[in-house]
Amino acid sequence: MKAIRLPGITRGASFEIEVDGQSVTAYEGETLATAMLAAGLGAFATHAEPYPSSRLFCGMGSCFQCLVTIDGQPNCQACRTLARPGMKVETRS
Amino acid sequence: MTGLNYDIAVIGGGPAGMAAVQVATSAGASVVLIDDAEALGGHYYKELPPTCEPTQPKRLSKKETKFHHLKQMISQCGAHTLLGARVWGIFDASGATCNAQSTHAETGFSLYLENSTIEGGVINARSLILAPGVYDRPLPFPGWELPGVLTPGAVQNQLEKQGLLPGKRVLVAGSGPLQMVVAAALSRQEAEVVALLDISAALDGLGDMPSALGGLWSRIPEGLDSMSVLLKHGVPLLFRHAVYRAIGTTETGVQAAVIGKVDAQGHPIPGTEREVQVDTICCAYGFVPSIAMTLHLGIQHRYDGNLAAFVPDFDQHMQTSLPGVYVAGDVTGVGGKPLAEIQGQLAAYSALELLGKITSQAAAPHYSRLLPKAQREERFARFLWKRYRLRPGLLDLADDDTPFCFCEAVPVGVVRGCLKDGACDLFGLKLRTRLGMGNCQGRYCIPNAALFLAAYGGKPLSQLDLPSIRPPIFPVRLGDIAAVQPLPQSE
Repeated sequence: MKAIRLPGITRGASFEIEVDGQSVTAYEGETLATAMLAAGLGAFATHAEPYPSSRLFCGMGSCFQCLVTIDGQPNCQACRTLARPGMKVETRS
Repeated sequence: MTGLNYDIAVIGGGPAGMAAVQVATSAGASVVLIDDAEALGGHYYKELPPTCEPTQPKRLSKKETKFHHLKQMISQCGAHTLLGARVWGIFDASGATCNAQSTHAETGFSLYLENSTIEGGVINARSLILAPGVYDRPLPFPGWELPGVLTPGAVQNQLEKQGLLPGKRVLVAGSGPLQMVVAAALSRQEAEVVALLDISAALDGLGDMPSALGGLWSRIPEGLDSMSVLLKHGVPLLFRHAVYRAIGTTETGVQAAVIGKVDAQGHPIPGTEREVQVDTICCAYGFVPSIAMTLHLGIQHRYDGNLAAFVPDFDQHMQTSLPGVYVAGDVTGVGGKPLAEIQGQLAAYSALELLGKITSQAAAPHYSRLLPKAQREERFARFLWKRYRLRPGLLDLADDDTPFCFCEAVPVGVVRGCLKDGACDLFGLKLRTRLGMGNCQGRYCIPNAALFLAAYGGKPLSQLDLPSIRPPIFPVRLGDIAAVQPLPQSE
């Protein structure tokens, strides 16, 4: 399921980031979570067993379920981190 | 160095915090305003980032105009604003844990920040106004771990702060005043809201409405506005209904929801289930006040029966049990934006009086002007949360293998097993299961663990001891702690 960028909004400059080796388009001002959801990537960090994966849930930095590794730095909150050009993201550690 | 010593630190940039800053700066106090979000507004005022704008220029709504003026006021009032900065610990001037015996009003507090531009990561303030707000309260149900299950707050943030529609076919469920607003916002954006479910009955609490609304008749059109959008889009409103189960896989996300009726206590009613095709489920049951900071400060809390949650204790001037620390806004009991603004002003006058910036005689007329307004708003909030109160039967929705806590991977069955074995308090549950020890630091599992203890352990919620919260109150990188360089307090 891909989330949809609303029409009728002129967004900032677009650029590419890399999520698990896949190229994903993001716009200036977007969080990493937004760029991933718009690309149909709804599963974030892999959870501890037995739960297979986590997702955007609280969307306000409280629940720590959208943790990903960014440029080698683990446990970053995708909903609180702005996408930056060239960012390399891993959802599986 | 004196630049980092303030008379008042306001934590939380929502309606309460902004109102407090306005009053405090206008009396000449030096103020720092801190929020962990990148923008002001809290959970009430939300707007797209500055890099985005509507393609067709639109006339600003009343709310947008108000927010524009507030932001302008904050930027011109002389307060130092720190956005995207998290306070992970508050200590006394000597760097020790605060306690009610010390006279912090003289020596002040040291605030330790993450993600801030402040060198050394520490700022000092003589008094604190805490307005940390609330977050959604989700309850566990089978499938709630799937991508596509999210809270109303998350949907609202994605829509209004990012311009992103999380799904095309959305089920909005749970209880609380936000559900209708979110469902209306989704409908306006061409998402299909498959249904709006509410655990309360249509007429619940309406008998109390005339007295609750005394003097607050403006609230009626606010509610009717969302309602008319839902009617126009033909969104079915199903009272005494809840989402029983989410169906899907990690790869596909949510594909369907099983919904059904609940009784007055929230118990699912067998035989009423039906499946609806949806790609998104937006669900929460009211809100939980963000009390990590007030707990960490050792402030007294009390149980609020209507909210089914703990709130910091405070007097009519917003003073907590710790001298020099005030609370304001939704953290005090989810009273909404008008009450938050009144409380922010009250807290600021109290702090100014304590600091000697205004005299008691000068403060008194402000208290007598604001207090009756606060009482009216509190009455309305009590009515609202009585209607939207949590129903314990909803805890039956979760299977034993439904996740209870995601951070530490604790299934509901393990929690139920502990309760059967005789676990009778939150501390016991924590020791047995690790509830509260994960990344969210108990923000989601502890309020629900309290409900399970009350429902299955028979212990009244009001008699539960809250867990102690120790700093850091958010996960912090060791490097941020190592970089701390406390500053001497100025005279």
